[in-house]
Amino acid sequence: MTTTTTRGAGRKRGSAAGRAGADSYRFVNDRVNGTSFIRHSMNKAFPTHWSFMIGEIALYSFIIVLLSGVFLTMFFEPSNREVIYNGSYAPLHGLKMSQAYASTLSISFDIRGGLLMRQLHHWAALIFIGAVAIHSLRVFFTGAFRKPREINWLIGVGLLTLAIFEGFAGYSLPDDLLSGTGLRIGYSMLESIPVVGSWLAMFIFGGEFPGQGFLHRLYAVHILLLPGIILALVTAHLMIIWHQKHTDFPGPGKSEETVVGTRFYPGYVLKGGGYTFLVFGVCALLGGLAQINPIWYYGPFTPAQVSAGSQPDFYMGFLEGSLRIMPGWEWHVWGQTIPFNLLIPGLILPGLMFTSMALYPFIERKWITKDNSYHELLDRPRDNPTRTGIGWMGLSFYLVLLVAGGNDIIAKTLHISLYATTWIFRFAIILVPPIAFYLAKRVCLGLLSREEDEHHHGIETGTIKRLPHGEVIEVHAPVPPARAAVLEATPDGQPAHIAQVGEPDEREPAPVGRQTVLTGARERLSSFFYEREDPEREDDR
Amino acid sequence: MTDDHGTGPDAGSGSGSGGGEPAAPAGMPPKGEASTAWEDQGSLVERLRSPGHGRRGSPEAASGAASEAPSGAPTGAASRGPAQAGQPSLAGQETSAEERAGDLRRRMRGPAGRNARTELDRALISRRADEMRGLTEIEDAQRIVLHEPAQAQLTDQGERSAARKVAGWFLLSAAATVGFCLLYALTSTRRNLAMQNQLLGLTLGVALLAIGIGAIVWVNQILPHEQAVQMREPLHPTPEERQAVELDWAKGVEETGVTRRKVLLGSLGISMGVLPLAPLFLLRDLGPSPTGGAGRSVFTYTAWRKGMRFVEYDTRLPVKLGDIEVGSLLTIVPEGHQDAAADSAVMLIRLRPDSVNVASFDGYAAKFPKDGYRGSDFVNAGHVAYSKVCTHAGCPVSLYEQQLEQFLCPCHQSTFEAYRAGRVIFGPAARALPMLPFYVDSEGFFRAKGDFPEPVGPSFWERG
Repeated sequence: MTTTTTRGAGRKRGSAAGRAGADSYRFVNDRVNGTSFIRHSMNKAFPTHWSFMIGEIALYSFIIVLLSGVFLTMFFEPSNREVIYNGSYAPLHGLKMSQAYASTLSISFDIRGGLLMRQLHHWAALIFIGAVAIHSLRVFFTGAFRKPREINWLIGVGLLTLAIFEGFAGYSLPDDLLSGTGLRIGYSMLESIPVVGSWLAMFIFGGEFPGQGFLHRLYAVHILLLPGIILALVTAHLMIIWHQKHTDFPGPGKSEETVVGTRFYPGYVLKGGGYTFLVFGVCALLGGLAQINPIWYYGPFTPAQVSAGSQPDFYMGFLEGSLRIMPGWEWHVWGQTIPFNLLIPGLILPGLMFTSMALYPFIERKWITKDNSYHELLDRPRDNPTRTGIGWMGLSFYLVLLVAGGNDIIAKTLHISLYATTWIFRFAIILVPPIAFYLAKRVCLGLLSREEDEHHHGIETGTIKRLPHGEVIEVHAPVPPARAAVLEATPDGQPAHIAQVGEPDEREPAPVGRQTVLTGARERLSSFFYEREDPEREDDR
Repeated sequence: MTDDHGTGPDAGSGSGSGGGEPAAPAGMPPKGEASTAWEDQGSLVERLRSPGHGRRGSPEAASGAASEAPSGAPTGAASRGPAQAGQPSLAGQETSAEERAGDLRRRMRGPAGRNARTELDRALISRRADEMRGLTEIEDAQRIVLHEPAQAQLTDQGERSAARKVAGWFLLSAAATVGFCLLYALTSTRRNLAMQNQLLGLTLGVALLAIGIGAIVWVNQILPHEQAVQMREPLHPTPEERQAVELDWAKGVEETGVTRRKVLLGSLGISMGVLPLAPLFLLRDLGPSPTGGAGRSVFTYTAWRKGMRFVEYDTRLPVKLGDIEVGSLLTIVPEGHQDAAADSAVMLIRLRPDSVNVASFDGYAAKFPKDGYRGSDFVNAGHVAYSKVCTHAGCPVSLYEQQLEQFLCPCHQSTFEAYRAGRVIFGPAARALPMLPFYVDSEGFFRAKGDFPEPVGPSFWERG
């Protein structure tokens, strides 16, 4: 009855466009009946916090990468076939080059808006990978990967890895001098794999470097295989978060049982749509105004040349750095060669980095905290000092590698010896991560203990009061309710074997008897993870 | 915010206003009781403890709202007294809510617009609540706790000016798009490409950004600011649900007969286990075998053969003694095999005669006793022919530091000593640069004495 009224009212008021919309809605709905889904979706509450927007930026930039990429496929020819250039860029006239490079030049110089689209594609790809990486940091440091969101964390790590491969494939396609050198290193990396390396390299490249028709293969991977997988994973990622609902920071009115935020319709749709266009617009401005990958300066790829001071895109920088600071270790055993100077920095190290990233939620939950409860409210980074420390350890490890990838430029800029910078980074990669761990943990503990004071004693006002009996005190003002709600949400750190959290049936069964080395290590890890003592505060008391 | 408990005429008597102390116990009702959701907002508001949430407007505004509140409408704030919180039905309110909304809209134009607007919100929300009663099956369990009109929306004039702002951005976007199209149509790529690219990017960027900014302004200035609260649904099944699925699964297993006829699964397993062989075989022709049928890896030899002349890579002219000055270098490929530069490229270098470490070249020759080379096959008249392919990752070693007589690979900075048989002195490379044995013929041309005595380039498993 109520619904009839509404429909009637809608018909009365609606404009022509509104009627068309209502009609098509009814058309679809009378056939698939999505009313409950649509209504549910329209009323979905989305928490708002600036850090939740980073993932959105990744999504929107991915859309524009897809769109601009489709445009580029209309003109690009992924062929190794050699041609003599006679297009509109005069400095390269008469030069032998692959058709891939020639068609990239043609996109840049002969097709109106082609250069804009090429640069836009490149910038949007950089923004995509950067946003995915920063989004994953946000998720890590706020503990958003905890139960029930481990699956999405795994998908996210997969997406980050694929995005890096996809980016590498993309900038290798134009077959310029810079990208050709990158492919040469990739070929050597394949070759270095024990037992099957030669076969892999020959199969993937179709022969000895530079290979037969390799660009065709790379092209198929770049425009079909990887984007297809990425698109599928993005879809799964979004469907899961849609179903699970977004996490939120603790605050007034927030609880583990509720979501507080803007409804999807109308506020979030309009705002999300707006942000989409903002990201598009920034990409377009960058594509027009900020030059990127000017392949015509690098020249076509020839195997006997290389450009000095060349730098890959930023997401490959950590690999470049790890290759540069690796000492020249190589084993010759039983008539075979194992080149650790390629294997470790190029394959083992990134493999370990991404694997440990992927497994972290499981290590934390299954092994350290044994916390099997659901977590809908986020930790602020300071709320879990040990995790934040671990995060900074990993992040600083990555950053040292990234900066080491530019050691020649650093050496040149600062006028220090190239070898000195390499040695500095060799030490830094070992020393910086533990220091970062310690500092981050200390900072978190300091912030927490200050908040504890604030929670129990209120805010210092600076007003000094003398009591009748002569005592001088500082007046503390009560904490405002919004702040108090945050302070109260701070978890009381308890080792897992003392405080079991979660519903009784979600708990893991208590370990029975048998104290082994493993359980001991586990308990120590757990205590370490929850350790909250601050030596200075002990002294105060 | 407008519809919470501070505003209504009887809010003060119902639940404690201002302080946010609840009369009803705090906590969300369980899922499926959405129909009563609107009545217990007092308790919900209590959950929103921020100072802005518990209070609304000045006393005047509250009394104004009270005077204008339609009588006998037990919806909105007025209905939220504890006495009515549990009432199961408010049938008969549907039409009045609709009428009231229209009435309020008319009154919005007046000076009391601000309060009327909050009344409208309340009326609309109560209508929503009424609608929800008809749809109890839908598990939204959602309430809007804070639903505050945007500042601009409070007055008709404010909303009009906000709408103008939004429209301004949208029209700017349209203008930029037209500009983009004009630029595209009027320019030719032959002229001033950089400028054209910048202008195209600028117009397209503005066209896109302006839509985005317009939408954000729209959201911020016209849409009500809301805090919707929604129950989370449990993400795990109830024991009953789980059991039901398990039962269905077990029944299915029984029906397929796999427990009775083992051969079914066994044979399926065999077929599925063998099937991947087909795509595996299909992959074989992706590339040639690394041994190329010749019994030795293609990575172990290059295009160089005995007697081949050295030709310069760029000019493809044969190189003669005296073409290279002391301290400089040429990139060389074998004559007739210019395209084999990927592994056959050579750096022919002329060292200062006094700097050559003869013993190191003898030592290099001695490493390959089978070939019978001597040190003088590798350093001849001060010339040395090094492989240009880095022994680390295969980049062309192309930076020559003349003073130090060192090669530097620009990729990962492996450094090799040119005067001492290509020894590694720094960087990730593990092996010296291989050298090509050569001689100078009677006409003065450089010629190879054979292939490199060892594989060039990066390491691989079969290298030995």
